[in-house]
Amino acid sequence: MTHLGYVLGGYLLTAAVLGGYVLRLRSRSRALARVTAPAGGGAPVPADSPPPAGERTR
Amino acid sequence: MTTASRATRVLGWAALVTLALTAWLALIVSPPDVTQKDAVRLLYLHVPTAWLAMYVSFGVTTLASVLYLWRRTRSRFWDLAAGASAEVGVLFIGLTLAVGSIWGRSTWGVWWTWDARLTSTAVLFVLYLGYLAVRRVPSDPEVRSRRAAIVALAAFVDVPLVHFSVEWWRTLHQPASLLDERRLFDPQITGTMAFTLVLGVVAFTLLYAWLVIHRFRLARLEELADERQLADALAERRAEGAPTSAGESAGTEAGSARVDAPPVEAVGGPVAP
Repeated sequence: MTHLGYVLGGYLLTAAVLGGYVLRLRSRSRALARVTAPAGGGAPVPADSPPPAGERTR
Repeated sequence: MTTASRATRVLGWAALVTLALTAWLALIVSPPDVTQKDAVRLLYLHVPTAWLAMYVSFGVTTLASVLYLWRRTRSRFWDLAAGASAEVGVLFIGLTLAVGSIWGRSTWGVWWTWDARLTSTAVLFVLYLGYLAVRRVPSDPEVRSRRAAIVALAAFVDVPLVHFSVEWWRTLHQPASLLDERRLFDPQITGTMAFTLVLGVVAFTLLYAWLVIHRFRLARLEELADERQLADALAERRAEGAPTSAGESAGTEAGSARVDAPPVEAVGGPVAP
């Protein structure tokens, strides 16, 4: 293989790995957004919001 | 993408444009090296990914871990930031090893050799994989975060070893092209090659920032989902327990059998805020 073959291999490998990671983040984010979205739709509840009345225990 | 915002979109586009520009300069514009010929074009990938992983990603992980361990600044923010940065760092150090291996095959004739720089970098990769594994061990979140922070501090000890390995031992690996302390004002690389390399470092730094922000926000979403699942499980237990109290008040046999079950709060613990 020529030097250019190795070079192109390196660039393609990098693009594939980074692209795959971005797609994985994207799909996981979408899946979690569905899980964390309120039943009636709308924006997800912030993590630091207080629990609904009656849910607080001890 | 729910982890996106206007700022991350701008950052993402900036990273994409600078990466494309770097690829164009690296593959087409910059000249081949006198001795390495076209193989030198791998420098514009290998150096930025190594720089990002070792100094930026693992540096941020270490700093965030220190801030988490220090009681005055302890918060979930620093723990999640440390984890997000380490994951992206592992990705970059993996790429450094892979691209370095391809470059080694092209110039040295071998995919791998037990050289000091290569070996210490491989050890670094394994150490941070271990760090990510510790973060996934099922345990009390606070205990797990504290353990992970300590592992992060221990793992960072390898970074100076990697940096100085080319000076302390006889190695095949070349010394630093840009960050050589003895030749800061007399760099080994100049002109278009130096510009492309610096642009590559900027492009990968932007990409790192974009990835870490998204990974951090994803970690927050994961925590929210866990809390939601816990709340749902508790609500389910309460629903199961509802007929029990009715049966108990009616004095039925079924009701008295169910009344022995512990209260929901005692089983599940307090609902996380």
